[in-house]
Amino acid sequence: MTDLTQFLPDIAWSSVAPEIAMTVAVVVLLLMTVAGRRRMWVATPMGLAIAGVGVALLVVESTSPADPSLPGLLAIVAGVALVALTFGLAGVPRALHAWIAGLGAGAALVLTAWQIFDVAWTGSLFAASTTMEGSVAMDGLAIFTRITVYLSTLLVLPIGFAYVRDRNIHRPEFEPLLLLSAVGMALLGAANDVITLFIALEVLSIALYVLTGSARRDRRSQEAAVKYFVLGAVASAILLYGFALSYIATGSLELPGIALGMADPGSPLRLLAVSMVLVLVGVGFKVALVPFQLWVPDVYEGAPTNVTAFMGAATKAAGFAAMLRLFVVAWAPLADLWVPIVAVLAGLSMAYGAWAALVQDDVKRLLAYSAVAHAGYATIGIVSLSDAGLSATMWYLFTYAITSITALGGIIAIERRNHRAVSISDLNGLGRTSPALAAVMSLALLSLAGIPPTLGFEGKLGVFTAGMLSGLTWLVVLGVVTSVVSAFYYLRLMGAMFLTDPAPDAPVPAYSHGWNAGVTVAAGLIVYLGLQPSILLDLAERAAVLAR
Amino acid sequence: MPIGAYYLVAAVLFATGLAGVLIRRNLIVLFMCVELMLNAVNLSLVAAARMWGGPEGQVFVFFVIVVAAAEVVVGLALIVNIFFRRGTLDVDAQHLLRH
Repeated sequence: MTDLTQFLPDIAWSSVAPEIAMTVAVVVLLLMTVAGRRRMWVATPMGLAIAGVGVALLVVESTSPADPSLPGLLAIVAGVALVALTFGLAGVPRALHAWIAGLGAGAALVLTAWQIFDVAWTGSLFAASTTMEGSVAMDGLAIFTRITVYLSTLLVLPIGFAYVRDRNIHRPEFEPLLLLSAVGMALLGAANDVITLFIALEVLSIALYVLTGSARRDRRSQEAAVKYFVLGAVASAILLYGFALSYIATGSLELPGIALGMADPGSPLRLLAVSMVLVLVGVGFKVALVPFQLWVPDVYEGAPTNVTAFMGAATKAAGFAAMLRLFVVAWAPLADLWVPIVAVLAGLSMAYGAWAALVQDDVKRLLAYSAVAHAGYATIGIVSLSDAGLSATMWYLFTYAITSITALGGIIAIERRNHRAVSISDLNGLGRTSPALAAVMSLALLSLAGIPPTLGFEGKLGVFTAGMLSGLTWLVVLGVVTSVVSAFYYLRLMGAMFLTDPAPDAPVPAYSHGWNAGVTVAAGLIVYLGLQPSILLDLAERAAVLAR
Repeated sequence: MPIGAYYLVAAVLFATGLAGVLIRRNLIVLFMCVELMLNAVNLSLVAAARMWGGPEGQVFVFFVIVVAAAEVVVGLALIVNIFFRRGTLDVDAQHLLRH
């Protein structure tokens, strides 16, 4: 009898451990939805199975009793917590679902930390390696993207909890879709071949299309979802054709292999240039660079605000991770060609975002245009083509994710009880009627504007420094000028809050425990990391290692 | 038949799909054009896999087909829902969102 184990592939599960945790949470949530009132009959065996896997991991993976396997311990805790939550929150299924989703995202974040210290850390730098036959990268970019994405998920879950209830748009599939989308984003940051990259991109996009349209009776939400879907599908198809052309030209679907094929002097340069342009259109759409930003204002405005917060924060981080990997690894031999094009797009994004936001009245639309401008700033790090630029972009996306979640969290509180879009006049006198909310929103706006000592300032400092070091003076000057312009409209919002009298029919903000917790943590991060950025900034600097 | 002919057909298909997306205004037709673009990609991938003699290109095609099916599920649901809300499938019809 032949030994069948020789046919089993050797899979490094540790490289996707956080995604496995999230996917398990999704499966549990879906099964419990199906089970309805009999959710104990699902939760108990699932909890026991997860804890059992944990025990098995402890036995197999632990090197010594003093150094137990962390995923094993975590699985035992998560399995027990699942059963305990199900019995403890039996009467409130919505809260139960949110807690389980939070448990999944929390476990993913812990596993990401474990990946940093146990797997990818060599003492001073991240070790870059690939697993699964080269299709998943295990390097600084993958891990830093995970931190941003999972932290955003963990913040958005409690902030939006009461909001979806008050708008009456909660469905059991809400949390699973959110988690699946986060899994896609994290994998997008880790994808090292174009198949994985494409699958991850579609997992995150398709989940987001549904989430955008989750307010089924709201026509604005439906219009936003259809617009996002049609444009997103076209962008994916264009991206895919770019991949097909690069495969025709180089014969490789792996990003380092594409780079190798390109470096070959006999490679068809024109075909590769066309494929580069198509790929740029595809990822430019995802990260919302001008001129592919047409969907952004409508989708930001129409989507439920907690989905907007998640989308703005996490999708951007994931999209830029994919863009970094595609251009810095795969299209590196054609750098002379794409750097000027992408630099011009970055400049256009900063200028257009700042200019268009000036004339907006709807606060979500204003933040959407500011998101376009911020995409431009983050791109400066990519076109710097240096390690400093790489870590600056990752760090910038982290700072932007936390800041935009805080800002949109403020909108969520205002929007909860009054079911219409928040315009600037709705903010009038907020500083007098709800000083705490006004203070938090001002903090977020100052951070978006990049005023020290907030987190946003640290982020901008990083990309501008990297740009200067790489000799992109014109782009940095443009960045500074547009920052000044954009400070004007952020200050306009603050002026409405603090310098005008409240209108008699002004919306009354509503708070919940989850909102308080999420926004407090996010605002705390803005202040704390603004003053003490070195903790994560060091990590970002050391994470500037790409698997090639 | 030379391999270049397949690439040419794929390119024509892709251009047709892209042109349709840009010109046509009916959501269902837009959707069909996207499918056309995806199938143009599939054709190029299969031809390229034949040219390079490796399996990756063909594997990729299966993934693209699966993803296209998933997109159909979500896309048609969204389109049906907006048809019930608006009573038209014209993308230029009156928008609530400013554009």
